[in-house]
Amino acid sequence: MITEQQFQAFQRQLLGRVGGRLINRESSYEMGLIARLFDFLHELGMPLPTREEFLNGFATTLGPMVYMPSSWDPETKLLTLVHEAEHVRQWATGEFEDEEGIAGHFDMAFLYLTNGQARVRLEERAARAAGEFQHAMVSSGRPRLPSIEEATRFLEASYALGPDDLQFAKDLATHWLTEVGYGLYDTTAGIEAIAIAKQQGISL
Amino acid sequence: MIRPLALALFAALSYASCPHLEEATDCVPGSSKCEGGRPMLCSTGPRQERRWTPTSSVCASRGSFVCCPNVAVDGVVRSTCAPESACVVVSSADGGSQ
Repeated sequence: MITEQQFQAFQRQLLGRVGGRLINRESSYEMGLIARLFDFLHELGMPLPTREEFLNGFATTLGPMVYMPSSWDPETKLLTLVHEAEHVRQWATGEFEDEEGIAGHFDMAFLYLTNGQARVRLEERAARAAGEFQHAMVSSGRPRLPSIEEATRFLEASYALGPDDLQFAKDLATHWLTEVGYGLYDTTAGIEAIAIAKQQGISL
Repeated sequence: MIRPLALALFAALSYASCPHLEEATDCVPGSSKCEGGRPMLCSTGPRQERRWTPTSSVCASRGSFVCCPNVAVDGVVRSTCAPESACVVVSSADGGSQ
């Protein structure tokens, strides 16, 4: 059981290490603006979330800023934060710690918005960060890793991906689930989150 | 006449300088391989273009791991980072790719 106080201490340390900032989604001006636009388009019949759904049902990262609903329970916020912290790091330094893969800043943002395969790569790497954290921190009696389907289901809606992209997501998830199952932790956010949680005595 | 031509040239140059993912012709979608100690996965894009995607860091940089074919969580032999004891030998007909 994680308390709100533990979550706050955890988020300050994790986002401090990756260079991010947590913003209350419900009271942010920019999210409110996007929510109004979504509500309008939803009224016109477009398959988009309503204002309430957008503000309370999603977390979004824009550059170094993580917009998360404050109403979520601390454990959900904590696991989601590890995912979003990896996006913050992708923005700052790129897909990997070395020169391989998608570069940070403009390249990351441009490819995320324009290329389904890049979107899958960046999202599955963020899912891996949360998966690594779960694998390292979960106590007995709970699954230590999601299934391939669970690790890719979130991409099936709202990400505008085709069948080839979704198959690619499943292949990527199979790769990282195999590696994390061996105890190989590779993402910056995952590794940092595990260290902070151990230091703070947090377990799932 | 000059202005539309200049605009078209500007648009083409702008597009060419945008970031893109490298394409490859030497892979079968879904197959995997090790390159420089790092696992790579072959995927297909919306225009049926193919590319090799790195799936993690160089394995040895994360401890006692190597990149090799091993039995993945779906029961299929794939090239990923793994402890050396988990590596399996694949026939040369596979080229060690899947």
